[in-house]
Amino acid sequence: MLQHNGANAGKDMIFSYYKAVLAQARERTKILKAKVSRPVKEPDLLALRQRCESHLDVILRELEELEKDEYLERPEMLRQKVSILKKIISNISYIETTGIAALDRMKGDDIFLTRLLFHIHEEIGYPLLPPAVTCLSRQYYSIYPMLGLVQVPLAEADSLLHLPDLYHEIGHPLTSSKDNPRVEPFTNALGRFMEFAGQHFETEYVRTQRSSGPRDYFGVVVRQLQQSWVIFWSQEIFCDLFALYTLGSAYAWSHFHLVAERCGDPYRVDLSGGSEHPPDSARMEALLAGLKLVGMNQESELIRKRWEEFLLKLGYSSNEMYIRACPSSLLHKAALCAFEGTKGIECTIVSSSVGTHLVGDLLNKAWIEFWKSPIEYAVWEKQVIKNLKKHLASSSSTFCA
Amino acid sequence: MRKMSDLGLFGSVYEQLHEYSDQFNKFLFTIRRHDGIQRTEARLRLAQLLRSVTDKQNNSPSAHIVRMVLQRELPRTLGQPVSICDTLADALEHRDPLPQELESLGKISIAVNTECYSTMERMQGKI
Repeated sequence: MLQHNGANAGKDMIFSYYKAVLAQARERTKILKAKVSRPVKEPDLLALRQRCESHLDVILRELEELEKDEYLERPEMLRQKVSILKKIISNISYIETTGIAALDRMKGDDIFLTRLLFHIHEEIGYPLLPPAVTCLSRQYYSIYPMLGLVQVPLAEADSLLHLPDLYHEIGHPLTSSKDNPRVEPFTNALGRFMEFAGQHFETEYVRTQRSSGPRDYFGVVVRQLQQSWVIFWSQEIFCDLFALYTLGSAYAWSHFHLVAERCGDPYRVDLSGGSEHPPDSARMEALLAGLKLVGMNQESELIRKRWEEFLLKLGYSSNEMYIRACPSSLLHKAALCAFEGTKGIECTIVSSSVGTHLVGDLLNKAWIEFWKSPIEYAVWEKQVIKNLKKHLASSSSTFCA
Repeated sequence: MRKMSDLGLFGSVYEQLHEYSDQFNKFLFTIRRHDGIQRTEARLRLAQLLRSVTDKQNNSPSAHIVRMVLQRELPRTLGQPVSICDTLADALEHRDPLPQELESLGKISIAVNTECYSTMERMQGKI
């Protein structure tokens, strides 16, 4: 028993505080569970609700185990106990502000896009459950793989040109899928590429240490690039390529659109710790290589010309750091590995010929219409979206683009 | 401005890390507090986890990511390269860990936990 002097009273207070924090966390989780336990507006949302509930149940179990763990009651284990509690509280916040917020808000546009993504998953033979979609994004497209929820900006239900990014987002759950034989070819392909990238920069590191230049600086740079490629960039590029291989050139156009519309220097290499995205030019180079792999050489050349025109007119050019960070050999290897991975999971690979994919064909046609007449495109798009929404709302109506 | 799919990427990285982190914590706790068969099983499973990261034949994205995290974190905390995991695995396969080995295992656990936690923070836009 601790004696009540100043130091021990302080220790008691901290222990009591964290006990109370744990109890509060448990109560909050139960409140969130009650919020989720209502009828859903749409069958496609059942999976999201179920995932939210499952996550909340896991959190409740973790809190209970943490509370009962006598070993972690020891004073010397406080730091470890608190680090686990913090992780759990982060998880509660995550579920609250994402899945549960989305379920609480579901409106017409969210349901339309959720149905659209359902169609996409059918068309391409996507092996996992299709995510729900919410228009709650405060930035751009993103996905919460743990919840099966895609977030898009508010007006995306009335626009086609960025919708190809949905295909990129559904690539992410594939990269983190486990114990699923159907998805293993994809994760194995990603693993092979990570190994290749890791080894490339290991070799680079050895080379820099033998060189006569500023070894320390370049040693740090190469290690940073190795970390970025293996942990982050490989996954991003794989998702780009998955989108390309299942949708087609519309994804490459969408990438062009995103960069030209919103982003900075496409050759800029971000060397801050754990930079998440490869340079945009590297992503485009991988996409163009991918288009050639699927036999879409004409489309690849057309996009390349427009891309190079964009770079020239805006004064962007390659630099030594970019070439060091994103060698063509690495990008082409990514294109090849991702192609093998996408084929391996039996998703439908795009080809030049027009198919019978309602959504895929429409998104590709949108870009053809846009380049035919960029100014008048909006009129065409408005009508097509109106027809599409009507079609998805009622399966008996015929869709006409 | 955050680019598209930061969240998707971090979400995937989190998924790829947290299972390893959870299992590592579970087996380490069991070794610390139990005796007999439970303890033996836990140390053998922990050895397997360590081997899964150092085994170059293991191609799972999770293994690659954990390897990178430990390559970045371990030298600072332990003053040793990632091969400390092989040494620890060797020990755990044959006997209970010594106090200094338990300390090293604790540091590995903290390194992966911290990466999980900071990935979650990035998902939530806090860093």
